[in-house]
Amino acid sequence: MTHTLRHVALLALGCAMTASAAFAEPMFLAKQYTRCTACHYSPNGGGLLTPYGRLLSHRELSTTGSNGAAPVAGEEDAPRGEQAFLYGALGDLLGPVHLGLEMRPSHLRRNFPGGHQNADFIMNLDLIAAVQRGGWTVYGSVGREPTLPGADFVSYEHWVGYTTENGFGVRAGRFLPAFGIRFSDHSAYSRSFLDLDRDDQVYGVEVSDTMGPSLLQVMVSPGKAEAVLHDDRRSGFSTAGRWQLDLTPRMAVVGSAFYRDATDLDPKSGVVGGAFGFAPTSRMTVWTEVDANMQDGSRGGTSWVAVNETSVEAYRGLWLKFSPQIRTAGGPGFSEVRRLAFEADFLPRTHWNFALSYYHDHNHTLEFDTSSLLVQLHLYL
Amino acid sequence: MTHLDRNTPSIGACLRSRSRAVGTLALAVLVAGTGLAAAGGPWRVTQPDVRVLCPLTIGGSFQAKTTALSGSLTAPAGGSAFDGMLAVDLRTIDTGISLRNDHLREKYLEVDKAPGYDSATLSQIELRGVAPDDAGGKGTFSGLLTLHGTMKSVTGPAEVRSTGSGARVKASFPLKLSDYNIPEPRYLGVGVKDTVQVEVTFTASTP
Repeated sequence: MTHTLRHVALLALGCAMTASAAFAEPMFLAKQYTRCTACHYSPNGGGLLTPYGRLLSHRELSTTGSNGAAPVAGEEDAPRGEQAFLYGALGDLLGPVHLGLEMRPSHLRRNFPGGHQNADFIMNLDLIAAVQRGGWTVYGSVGREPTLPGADFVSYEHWVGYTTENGFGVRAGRFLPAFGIRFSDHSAYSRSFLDLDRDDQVYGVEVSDTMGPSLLQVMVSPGKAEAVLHDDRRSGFSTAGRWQLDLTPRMAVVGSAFYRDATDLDPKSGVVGGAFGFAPTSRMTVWTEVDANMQDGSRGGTSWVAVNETSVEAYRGLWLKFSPQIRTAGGPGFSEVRRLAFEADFLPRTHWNFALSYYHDHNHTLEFDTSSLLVQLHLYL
Repeated sequence: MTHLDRNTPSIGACLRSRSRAVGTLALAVLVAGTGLAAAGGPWRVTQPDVRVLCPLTIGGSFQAKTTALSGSLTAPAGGSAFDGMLAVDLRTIDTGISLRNDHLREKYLEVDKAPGYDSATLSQIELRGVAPDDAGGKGTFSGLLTLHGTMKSVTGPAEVRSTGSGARVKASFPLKLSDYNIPEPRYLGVGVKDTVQVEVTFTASTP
């Protein structure tokens, strides 16, 4: 029994912690940013920051950046200094290409029944590039692949998109589907248990439309990118839709649905969910997402996932997060798991910051606990 | 007020009872209804709250706000428009982002450009659809908004509710930035759409 528990605990921790954490930051709803595209090239958030996003990170979010120099008002696209790649060392050499180099040296301590494990590793190392002109965006990343067998490098995202001035957009390529809230922690139950984790991008086409205070995104795909590339048995049609309504600049509701057809190895499944976020002050954001995950087949059933994330800016550039999470058992073979997560994000400057995370997971079905302490230095050059 | 659009009508009349106070984007509204007109006034602004919803070109929006709304209004004694004006101090508008505040004030509203640019005023305020002897109600208002050296008429819904000390007034109207010769707000690829929505709330009370 002890061996079984240990095995289950290691599996859970393994899938939970080996990855890149901070990407998109829904906590910035407190700063009146309801849409990812204010700071990121990707409509779904995460990845390379736009010049505006870098500027915002420097001047408005980092602890020591409030007096930093900024391009004058009215400039269209002139990142420089701390807002630019490698502090602008390359000058105009890159032309319209924007680059970002992201790296996370990390330390992880895992505690599980009967033991613990320490690990020092580079969580991710990615070079990301984007060009944006006349409504067109070309975006791509390439980086070291620490987990996929037989792969030294991986491009998590590469896509081409076009957005009209009226807010209608289409993009095609490899990207993470829009669903719910993209919490920065990829191991959040609403991401890891719904196949929206770090390796769950799809090859597909996404159509989006901004209509006043609402945003609609619809995606169709032949399947997950890694399955399409390397494992036909797991490849199957999928489609997703996400609708967001901004009730105010600091309050939004989100509805999402995801359908995945059966593959040779996976049953047909569907997920529907809703999320609500609000920021009672300019220093606090509360997001709550609840999803129902339905699966066909012998392991079928409906499991529920609920995640709350409350973020507070305790000091300029210091965000504290508290996140209770639950996933119910659903069908046979699955456990009910519960999590309490605590995180401190310290953002001294645009190009480097720290994250300290603590996770306590309780397997309610098998009655055992695990915990993890993760320390990350985030370099964003 | 020395830099008004030459095509603006009735400038003199609009400036007649101008107070130097503050001013802002104002919006003013009507103090109307509800016994306010019947009581005459002057009615002074208390507990003000001015909010401007600015939709972004990339989707989403942000809110700029201030409480620096001042002024007084006197019920019309024969005419249809209130005497007096409401003014908002544009230097106090806060968007929640310091750099955005700087740009808003210096680059787009140009509060230091000339006298009067640091405030927005609403005058010649008229109320419609709210009976003077009602305890409250909904109607519309119109007025002349002076902003960025330009005067234009504005109109929108208004709501008046009686309170113990006077009347709580809420009004809103769309404001087209290009109508006031305000440069297109755009910064590092992120801009504000041409039409913003202004909402003003205050209590009108006697001194």
